[in-house]
Amino acid sequence: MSPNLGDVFAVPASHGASKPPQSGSASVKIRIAGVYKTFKTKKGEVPVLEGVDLDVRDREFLAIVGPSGCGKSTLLNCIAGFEGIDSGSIQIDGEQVTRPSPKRVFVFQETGIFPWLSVWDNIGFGLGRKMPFAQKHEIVMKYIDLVGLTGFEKALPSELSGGMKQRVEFARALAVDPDILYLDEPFGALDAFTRLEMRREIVRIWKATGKTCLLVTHDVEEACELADRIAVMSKRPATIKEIVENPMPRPRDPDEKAFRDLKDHIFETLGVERRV
Amino acid sequence: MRFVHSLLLALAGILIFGFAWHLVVLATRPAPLRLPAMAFSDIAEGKSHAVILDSKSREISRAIFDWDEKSRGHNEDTLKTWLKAHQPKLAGLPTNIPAPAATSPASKPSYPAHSLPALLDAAKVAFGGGLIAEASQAPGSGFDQARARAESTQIKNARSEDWIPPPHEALSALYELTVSGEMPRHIIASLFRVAAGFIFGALLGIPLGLAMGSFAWLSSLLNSVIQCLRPISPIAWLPVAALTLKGADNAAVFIIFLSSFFPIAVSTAAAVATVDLKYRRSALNFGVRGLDSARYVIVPAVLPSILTSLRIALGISWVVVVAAEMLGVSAGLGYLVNDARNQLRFDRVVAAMIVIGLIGLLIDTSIRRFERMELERRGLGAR
Repeated sequence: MSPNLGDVFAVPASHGASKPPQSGSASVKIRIAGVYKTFKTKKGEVPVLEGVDLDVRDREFLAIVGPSGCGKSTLLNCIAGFEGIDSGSIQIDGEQVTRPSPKRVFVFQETGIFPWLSVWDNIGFGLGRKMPFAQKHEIVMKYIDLVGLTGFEKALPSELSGGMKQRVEFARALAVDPDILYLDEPFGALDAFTRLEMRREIVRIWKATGKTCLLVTHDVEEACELADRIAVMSKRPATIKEIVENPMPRPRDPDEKAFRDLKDHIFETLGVERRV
Repeated sequence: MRFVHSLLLALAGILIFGFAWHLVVLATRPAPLRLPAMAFSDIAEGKSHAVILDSKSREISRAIFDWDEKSRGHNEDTLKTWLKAHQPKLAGLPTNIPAPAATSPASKPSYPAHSLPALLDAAKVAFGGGLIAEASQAPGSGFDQARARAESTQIKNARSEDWIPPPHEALSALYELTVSGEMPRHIIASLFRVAAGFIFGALLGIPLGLAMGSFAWLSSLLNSVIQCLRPISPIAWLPVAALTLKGADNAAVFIIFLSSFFPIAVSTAAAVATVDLKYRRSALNFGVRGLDSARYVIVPAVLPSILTSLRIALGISWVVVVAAEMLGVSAGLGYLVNDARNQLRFDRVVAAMIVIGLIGLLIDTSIRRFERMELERRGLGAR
């Protein structure tokens, strides 16, 4: 996994709507270059990622969309350091990613909060056990307030609704004050109303905290609502087909023409007929 | 209200079971077994009437014996001939009657060779003992008197076969064993064995399961051995255990250890291996790894599975302890069952069975309560 290999396998990925970010630019937070990954199964090797290049800028909200099973979750797991890559390089602030770090927190598809801990304990989990209680309590209560769960500190996850659990997970992630949030279809398990509410919420939190957000989703509308830029992935073995800029001001209205045009463009790039 | 309702239903269930049990006992219990019998009436006017009854108390034959001085000499031959003639109908009767003098035990008072008591003694020996009524002072005359005597002997000597006791007999045996202090002694012995073996099993099984679930190499190293040993019934270990552990008491505890150790270790390992990846990754993400991860993430995550495996293992242990106690030990519910059976006290056998069942139920419900608490905490409760 020499960083130089990435350059050898580098494939120009960005064309069309976006310009590739400047190489070595200070604003680049995550640099993904020529990432290859193959899954070994009983039936043989399945190439999943085939030369993925992507730069994520500091403090931006970037969404990765792609068809189901294209490897976008795998890519995010590799960026988070949960899985290794075969070749290429993933660098954050110029350093190779080798393992997960509390500076970059992963928000799971269905909540990854611990069902045996109370809301307070869950949010305090990442702060470690050595932190003095008063300090810990202050931080935990701050994020409980931020995600709007005041009064539920002692509740167990089993007593919360799906949306509230997701808020706990966001609070747990934010409490360790990370630079980056990885969001792996965080709203996938929620009902339509809660999902809408949570999307508004995540934008609010993102604006309030200024984290770099990397969202993986198969929901094009969600990507268009949330992200500054949208990376469109191909089918497996995946590459980045195109990176689409989304300059629309927030709050965004899915019925606006610009929004619909953006969606159409992405569906077209994906090669999906979106009319039923 | 709901509680009272289910309590009443449970009681009704127990009553129905007891009733069915009683019916089964009544329907299957064989009638007391009668043996063929012969009896004489009192001697009147130098004559004695005699009848032979078969095992269903039907009269097969009747005869009159003269008991004057001159008949005495051939009475024995007559009796022999008479009994021999009816032999085929009296299955199980001996074919010949030995001479009284030769067969009378030395301790018995000796009678004149052909007196009525001597003949009765001879016939008694020949019939297997106790079959022929002694001549007594009962009133009545002739064949009726002989028949009445023969039948009363049959009733007196009827052998009721050992059979399952009906519920009330088992319960009274239970009461008797409880007040005598015998039952508490056996209960304590069994509970002690189970507790000792089970605690060892859990103390070794849980850490080993956690380690096997966490380290694939350890699992590969031990799995084949454990999977081979696991299907061996713990009871099959008894001879080996008794030999190496010097004594049946230690062996029984060791067997309980085996019956809890394997299920606990195997299911803990399986639970650890299937802990949701999200939880492992969450821990990793926040820099919680190694022993901290085991303590704060893995153990809490698998706690419900561990509790389930403990409950199942304790259930198995309780089943196994009864069998393990049937050999070599001198206390315990298994010993009680075996001992009562040897004494043909089936009421005590069933009383012990009742206690075994009740204690098993008590153990199961108390652990299940903990288990449910943990599950409800996680929103997985059954209700």
